[in-house]
Parts: sequence; C-alpha cells; structure tokens
Amino acid sequence: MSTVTVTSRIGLSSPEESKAVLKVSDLVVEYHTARGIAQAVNGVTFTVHAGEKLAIVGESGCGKTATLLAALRLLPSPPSKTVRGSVEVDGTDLMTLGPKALNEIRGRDISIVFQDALSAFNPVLTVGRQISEGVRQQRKLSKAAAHELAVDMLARVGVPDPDQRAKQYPHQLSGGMRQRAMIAMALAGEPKVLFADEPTTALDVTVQAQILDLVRSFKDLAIVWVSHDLGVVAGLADRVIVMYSGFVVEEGPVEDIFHSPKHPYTAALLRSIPRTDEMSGTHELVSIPGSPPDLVALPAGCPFYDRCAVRVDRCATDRPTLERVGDTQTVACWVAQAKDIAS
Amino acid sequence: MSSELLVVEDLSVHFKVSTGTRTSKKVVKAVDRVSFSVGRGETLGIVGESGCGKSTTGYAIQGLVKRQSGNIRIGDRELGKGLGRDRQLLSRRVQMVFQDPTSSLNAKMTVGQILTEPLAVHNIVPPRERAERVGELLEMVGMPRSSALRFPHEFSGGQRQRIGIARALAVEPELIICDEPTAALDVSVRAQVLNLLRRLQKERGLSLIFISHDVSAVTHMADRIMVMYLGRAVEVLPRAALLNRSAHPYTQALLSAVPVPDPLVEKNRERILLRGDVPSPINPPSGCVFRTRCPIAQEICAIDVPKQRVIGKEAEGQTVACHFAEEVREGGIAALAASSLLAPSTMKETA
Ligand SMILES: Nc1ncnc2c1ncn2[C@@H]1O[C@H](COP(=O)(O)OP(=O)(O)OP(=O)(O)O)[C@@H](O)[C@H]1O
Ligand SMILES: Nc1ncnc2c1ncn2[C@@H]1O[C@H](COP(=O)(O)OP(=O)(O)OP(=O)(O)O)[C@@H](O)[C@H]1O
Ligand code: SF4
Ligand SMILES: [Mg+2]
Ligand SMILES: [Mg+2]
Repeated sequence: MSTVTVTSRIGLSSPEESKAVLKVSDLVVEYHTARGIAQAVNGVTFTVHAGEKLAIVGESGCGKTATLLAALRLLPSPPSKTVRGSVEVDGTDLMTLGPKALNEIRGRDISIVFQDALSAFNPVLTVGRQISEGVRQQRKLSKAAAHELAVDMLARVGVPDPDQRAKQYPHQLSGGMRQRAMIAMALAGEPKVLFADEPTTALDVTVQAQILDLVRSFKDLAIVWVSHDLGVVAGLADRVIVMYSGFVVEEGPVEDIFHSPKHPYTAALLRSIPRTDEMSGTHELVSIPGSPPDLVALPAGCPFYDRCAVRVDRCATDRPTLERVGDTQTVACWVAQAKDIAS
Repeated sequence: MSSELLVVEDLSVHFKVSTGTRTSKKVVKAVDRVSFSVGRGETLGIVGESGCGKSTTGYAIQGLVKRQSGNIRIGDRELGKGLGRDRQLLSRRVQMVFQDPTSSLNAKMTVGQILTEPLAVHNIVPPRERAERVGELLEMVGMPRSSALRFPHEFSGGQRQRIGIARALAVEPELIICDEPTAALDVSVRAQVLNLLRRLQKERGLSLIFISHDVSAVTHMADRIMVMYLGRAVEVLPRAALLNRSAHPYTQALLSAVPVPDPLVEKNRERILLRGDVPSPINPPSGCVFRTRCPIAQEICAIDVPKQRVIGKEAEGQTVACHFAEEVREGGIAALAASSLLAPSTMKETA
C-alpha cells in the first residue's frame, strides 16, 4: 500500500451535496487578427457543482477550447485577449491571481486534459517522472513517495503494468494508454474540477469506450467535458451547454436537452446525426443550410439568424439573451421564449 | 449472381515496411484474404478502426495498389493484377470521392474547368454541350449553376465535397467509392453530404462503397456492411442483421462502443468493453487477429486462422470469420463471456 492517500475523489462514493465548485461568469475572449477582432467567446457563464459532469457541445470554431483555456488563463496573449470575466474555483477568482498562486491552483484544484496527449507530455521525460514532478511540488512529497503515487495513479486509470509504464517515454505508449496517463497526471494533484477538451476524439471507438467508462467511474470529480460528439455527451453528462459562434444558446439537464431541445440550433443538430440503434437509417437527416457567421463581423441580431428555420423579424435586429424556458432549460432564442410564455 | 457489379475474391494487399532500427523489412498485411461483392444499386459500407485496411481495399479496386493475390471483377470484366492496369476502364466505371475535399480539387481551376476535364478526357459529351452538362452536374449536387465560374477556395467544406461528388458523377460511373467523405466536415454539414449521396444512389441506381470509421454514418448509409479488423473482413452482413444477428464478437463490441445520442439509451445499455488497443499490424496475433482482445477467445483461436465463411442461408449474404460464430450469433458476446461455455481462456493474457 502507498503511504500517501490517493485521491478519494476517484472513488465510487456518491456525489457530495450540490456545492458549486466552479463559477465562470461573463467570460469574453477575442482574437486580434489581420482581418479585425474575432469575437470568439461572448459572455459565457456557467456553474459546476461538486461531482457534476457538464458538457459543452458545439461545432468546430464555436469557442469551446477558447472557453476552457481562457478560464485557466492558458490562452496565449497576443493574439488572444480575455476581455473580461471571472472564474471562481471554490471561491477564489483565477483572474485576480498572481502567477505563483495561479500555478498552485492549477493541478491542485483544477486541471485539464487535451485531445492530443503527446503534446501534453514532455517527450524527453518518462511518464512516471512527469506525473511525480507535478505532484511533488503541489503536495510537498519526497521523491520516492511521489513516484509511488505516480505508479498508483497509473494503476487507477487502468494502465496495465504501471511500474513498467512509468519508466517509459510518452511515445512508447499506445494512443489509449497515453490518454490514460494524461488523465493520471491531471488527477494526481486531486483536483476538484477537471477540464477535458475532446480527450477521446482522436481515439478508436473501442478505446474511446474504455476511457469513457473510466471517466464515468470518477463519481465525485466535477468535469467540464468539451465535445462535438453528441453521443459521447449523452453518455457522460449530467448537464449540457450548447455553444454557437461563441455564445451559449441553450443550457439544461442532459435528458431535457436531448429529448426536448428548445433552441432551433440544438433541435436541428440533434436531427442531423445518424445513429446506430434501432433508429438507424430510418430518418432523413436534417441538414442545416449555410455556415456559422464570421466572428470578425458578428450580426447585430441572433447569430443563428441566417440558418434558422423559425426566425422572425426581431431576430435580425435584437440579439436574444439567455432566459429560462420551461422548468429546467435556459435558451437564447426569441421564438422559443415567446412560445414558452404563450403556453 | 448476375446482379453483382463488383466481386472481390480473396484479396490480399501487402506492404513492405522498414521497422526503424535495422534495415530489415517487415510485411504488413494491410488487406488479408478479403472477399465481398457489391450489387448494382447497392451501398456497401466498410467500417473498422484506424489502420484496419479500409482505404487500401478501396485503392486495390481502383488498381492504385498492387494486389498480392485475389481476383476483382467489375461486371464481366476481370481486372488485371498489375499496377495501373485497366486504367481506362476503371476511371470510366469506378470513381472515388476522398476525405479532404480541399486537397482533391485543383485550386487553380474553376469549378467549371474541374468538371469539364473528365467530360473531355472520356469524351462523354460533345464539346458544345459540355457547359450545359456542367450546369446539370452542379444542380444534381444542389449547387447553383453559377458556381462553375468560381474557384474551390470560395466554397465551404461541405460545398467542396459536393463539387467532388459532382466530378465523380461526371463520367457516369457505375460505382463510386467514398473514402471517409464526411470526416473533414462539421456535424451540421455532414448531413448534407450523406443525404446527397443517398439521394443520388437511389435516383441513379449507382453502386456505392462507403468507407468510414464512423459506425453511425455507415449504418445510416449502407445496405450491407463489411467490418474489418487488422486487414481481415471479420464479418459482412446486411444492415438489418447488425443490431441482433451479428455473429462476430468484434462486430458486437464495436457496435456496443458507439455512443448513441440519447441519454436514456446510454444510461441503460449493456456495454462490451474490449481490453487494450489494436495490436501492431507489423506483428499481428497468430490465429484469429482479434483473439488478444476477444472476450471469448479459446485455445483454438491462437492456432487456427478462422476462414471467412457463410453463416445462415447463403441468400442472406452474411459471412463471418470466427470459430464460434454460431454461438455468438445465438447467445450474444456479453452473455457468452459470462457463461461457462465460452468463458475467457487464459490464452489471450499472453499475447
Ligand atoms: N490564434 C487564433 N487567431 C485567430 N482566431 C483564432 C485563433 N485561435 C482560435 N481562433 C478562432 O476562435 C474561435 C474559437 O476557437 P476554438 O478553438 O475555441 O473553437 P472550438 O469550439 O474549440 O473548435 P474545435 O471543435 O474545432 O476545436 C474560432 O472561430 C477560431 O477561428
Ligand atoms: N503505402 C503503404 N506502405 C506501408 N504501409 C501501408 C501503406 N498504406 C497503408 N499501409 C498500412 O496498411 C494498413 C492499412 O491501412 P489503411 O490506410 O488501408 O487503413 P484504414 O482502415 O483506411 O485506416 P484509417 O481509418 O486510419 O484511414 C495500416 O497498417 C497502414 O499503416
Ligand atoms: S432567435 Fe430567431 S434566428 Fe435565432 S434561433 Fe431563435 S428563432 Fe432562430
Ligand atoms: Mg477545440
Ligand atoms: Mg483510410
């Protein structure tokens, strides 16, 4: 047995009382480009409770990665600029912290895993070394204890032969194994919140299933999981945020988002994907005409206006704000909001 | 059967690869003794994980890679074995649509020129009718005729893919091989291309080979599905059989691994998790290539290579390469792995 207590959050106990562990408010990010200012993230706000799995979905370029990276203050500036917003982890606002305090909180309270594990690792250090180095600083452990913890973490995320694997370099691991090792590294500091930016997108589907199974077992860990894959989201999330051109257009519990989507974009997106169960091949897929607006010249009204099948005149001129629609969802759509009032 | 347009028998494609450290060359059996056919007006889906040999199968049909062995017949023409043999015949009867619409279209040519080229090369229509034909082709794929005057970079990814499809249609081929045609496209745009392919296939009685690692897209598109693993066709089956009559453990595991965009389905479904990753194709397992990850592998699986054989009635068109296919089809892999009948043997631990 290890002498260090390894994260109880990776156990199987039930979620704690619903305490907010992360509050992101009014996050605004822009990119300064030759063509002008690209408004990549436009006032994103969300709260994550202890043990909760929140998914952020949306198509390529809608601002998912920018949201996560800006919240951790990992976006390179220039070209990006985080114009405003607060990111409170357990009551501490990351936006106001100095470099040292920021570094401490990352990894210890909040950490992130990426799609490409290879780029998250240093190629010339062994996997075990990289996991233990980080945790040694955070938790003031001896070298030996940190190494033991690293091996223990690898075992916990299902890496076979963790002793051996700890001595290997990142490129010597298979894709699935590397992804597990990255998760081990992210969780070694016992964070309360894990950000995950499409960590299974590059994997084969049977390997993705293993990783999702692992992640589902982290009952007490709060996760913000970014994905464009609605299937993955359906199997993982408690709550879902739908983003479109940098805006949150809908938010709600996963069942409600999938079974009664209120925003026209969410609804169309759900009907645009083929599925493998008994519904397979039975329905004509809905295709959404056109493409998202240019972030350098966002329209004055609703960003989905051009492609929307139910738009009304007002949508062209007034930008809809996120409002409660029904009991559990919030939606940024004039038509959905009007329908709700009428019913 | 005379209704078959394409018949592939026992196809093998091997590549020599250097293994890095020494100059020694190893052989990768990218495609290994694969048999299948595609009927007229039928869509065959080829599905499987990265590196299983899907693209190589497509290239072999086009004569773009050398066959180690095997026969390929299109209509009543037997294709020659050498590289580039039967080019003329092939480029007229078989066309390809690729993953990346950007790199497969010449950036310096207008869309009109891109579409005119195949018309001219094969002399499909006389010169004065070509402009009209280009317009028709564009309309077929749902693009305005005026697109002919513009360049590929002026279009979105989905539009470019539709231009690629129009180009493939220009020579009026009998078979179109689509290799990951939607992989580079965004979710909402993907549907346009899938719908278009399905419509064209129905209207024009085209045969399609739809290659993708995306199981959902393949099941949506295909009449029959070939599942590949490490160069082998582990199963070929009608779409209708996929959900509850598949007979290969990998087919069942693959399907079980695909997330369904419905939280209720996800919450209640039974999952078959495979261990580990796909082994290296340079050093594949002995016997059945799937045995190192198979939940029911027995001793014989490490010794005998299971042949691709017909299961059920011949007319049902299901073939499978598994020693225990009957049991798998009957009982389902999850139940079998849990029962004592085909409990996991110790063989696979040592692989
Ligand atoms: N360095 C940059 N310079 C200019 N614009 C950028 C830069 N990086 C990102 N952007 C823009 O910011 C927007 C948001 O990008 P982001 O990477 O957050 O999208 P995403 O939702 O993560 O997409 P994906 O699913 O493709 O990963 C995009 O429209 C992108 O074009
Ligand atoms: N020209 C080549 N030389 C050497 N090996 C090759 C060559 N082309 C393919 N291979 C190997 O043959 C195997 C099959 O490759 P292929 O591209 O057909 O797979 P695939 O199923 O299309 O994969 P993906 O889903 O990644 O496109 C792989 O192991 C690949 O590395
Ligand atoms: S606000 Fe208008 S344009 Fe935007 S999604 Fe709703 S109906 Fe469509
Ligand atoms: Mg991203
Ligand atoms: Mg391929």
